[in-house]
Amino acid sequence: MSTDNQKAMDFVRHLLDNQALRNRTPLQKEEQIIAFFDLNEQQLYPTLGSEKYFPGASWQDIRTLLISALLQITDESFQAYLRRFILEQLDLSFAAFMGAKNPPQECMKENLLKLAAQVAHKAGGRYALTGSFNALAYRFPDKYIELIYSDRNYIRFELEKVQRLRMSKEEVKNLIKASLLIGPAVYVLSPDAPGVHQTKMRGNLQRRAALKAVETILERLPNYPREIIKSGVESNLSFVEYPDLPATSRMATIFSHLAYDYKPDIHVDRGAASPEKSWFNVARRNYRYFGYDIKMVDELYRIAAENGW
Amino acid sequence: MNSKQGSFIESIIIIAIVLVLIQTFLEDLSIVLGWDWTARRILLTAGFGFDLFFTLEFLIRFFAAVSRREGIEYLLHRKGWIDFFASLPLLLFNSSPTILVIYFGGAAVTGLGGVFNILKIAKAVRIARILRLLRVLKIFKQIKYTGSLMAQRHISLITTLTVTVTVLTIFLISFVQQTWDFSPGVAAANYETEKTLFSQFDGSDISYLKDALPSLLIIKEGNETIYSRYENSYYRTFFGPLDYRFVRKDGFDFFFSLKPMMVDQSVQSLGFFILIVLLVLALLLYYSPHFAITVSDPIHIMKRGFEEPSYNLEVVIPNRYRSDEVFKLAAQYNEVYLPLKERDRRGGGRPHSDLSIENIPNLFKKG
Repeated sequence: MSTDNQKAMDFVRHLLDNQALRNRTPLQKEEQIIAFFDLNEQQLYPTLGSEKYFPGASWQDIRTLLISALLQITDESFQAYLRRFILEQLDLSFAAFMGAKNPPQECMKENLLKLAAQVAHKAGGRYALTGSFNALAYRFPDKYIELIYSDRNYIRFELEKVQRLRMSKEEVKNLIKASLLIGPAVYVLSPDAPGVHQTKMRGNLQRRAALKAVETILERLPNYPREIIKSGVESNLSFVEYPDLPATSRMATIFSHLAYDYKPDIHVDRGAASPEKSWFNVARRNYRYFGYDIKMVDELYRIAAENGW
Repeated sequence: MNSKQGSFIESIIIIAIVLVLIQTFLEDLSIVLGWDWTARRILLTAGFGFDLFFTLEFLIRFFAAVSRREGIEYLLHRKGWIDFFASLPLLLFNSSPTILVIYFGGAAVTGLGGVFNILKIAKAVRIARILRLLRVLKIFKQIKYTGSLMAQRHISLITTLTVTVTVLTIFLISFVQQTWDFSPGVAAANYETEKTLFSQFDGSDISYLKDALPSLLIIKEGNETIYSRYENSYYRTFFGPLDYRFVRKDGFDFFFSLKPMMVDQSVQSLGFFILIVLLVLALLLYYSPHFAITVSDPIHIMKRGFEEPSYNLEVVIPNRYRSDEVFKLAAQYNEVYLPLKERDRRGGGRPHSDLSIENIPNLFKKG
């Protein structure tokens, strides 16, 4: 490892250790630190460009070096989490309910892991994966589906009767988790997908591009039933434009947006609403803009409010 | 009841409040200025009439609220408790016994089958009179300070707290005085009497002084003590240099105790001290949280939302205060600002980071 690379790694590690980033996921930390570089160029460059650090280097060179070090460090923990999650926690047995005959779980998981790793190595895919990854890390599908299934309201009806998911709630949770991981692949594998700058939000894809993306992803995930890929890919479509979206896609969109900037340790000031309740209430007003299913958001808002989330 | 009738009745009540305040003031003034009994009797009778009127007003309001299932709401949140304290107890413990005594004699009161004891009633009457001051709050309820309901509520709350605590403190002090038969000002009055008696002393007969002047401690003629109320050890134990005064007259040295006067002043000081402590406590324990919940907390949340790019918590708007300017602003913040902020952030708006140069210790230490 070169001295410059070592210096960059040390500097980045020092930033990663900061209390303000404690309890954030690796991809959240990464995004925060990149934003920190961009916002503080004027203060950072005089010192980082000095003899002690990277003498003679331009800010652009230093930024590239620092970000490369950052991605290297983040990747270690991010990939480790992803591997652990997909291989050990994700249960793909629901594929059998969706038409797969004797689905080879290990092989399916390996393929999914490869796809996620490939997505994470592209800048646009990495951004798109942040929301999904955070939603899994903060266990949103688990905690919300649990309560959705304790009652017979809109979302459960959409899952069971409209999407016809004749499976247990655990399998529904896993389908949503798989959708969260497959969805971001659109931004890497589909030539018609929006550019990197637009990928912080889902819901801006067109159906034609989505259909192509399903075919491309099916080639990478050959043992997966089409419905599973479709559920992931269509989480990038707007429900306002396409009201026939699968309920699991709509859920994946909402969870990924909720989780994108989620701070688990945010201090709730006296007189403020709880974080998830606040987010869902804002989402209710923005549902057209982000293409959410308003009835779903309403139900999730009620759940968050009732549970003080 | 239509709004025209309601407005007419409210006008009558406002007039009655103004009149009752004048009556209350005149009733006390008549005693201080020594008005004749006929005038005082008219004032006392008028007081009974007002107490009856306000008791009826309270009962009508209360039962109307109960019929709408708002009894507790009326008593606790629409200041029904002021209507109660400024009416029923006054009628029962102040004006009714007074009227009975005036028109039917003391026997009418003592003849109530021993339910009441005349002495207790007399004391209760004197103490309950203080509750009349709460009627000041009834007139405050009618004043519209500004178009702002929020300002009205805050001013009204501060006024209510201040007046209630003051009245209750005076009530408490009066109760203590009645219970232990202590009257402030008596010492001052005694002092004036003693001063007059002492000024008439011509040096011929000192023997009567010790009985006529209770505050007289010692009389000396030259170095010889010719009278001392207590043993010397008692003076050493209980008297300091500020506790007595010295007067020389007609060849005699007189030492007077200042303690009764000091006790009198101290009781007054204690009263003021208790009043201030209770006022501060009431403002701290009751008004401060109210101010925080209805003003500073929502402003703090909105300030954070405006300043911090990733802060997106909504302000909780209590139904009761929905029409306050602060919460109207908070509603705009929740319903307009936060959704637009979210769109801006998601749509690739200006980058933000929770890290800042200032909160990273030894930023350039490593490397």
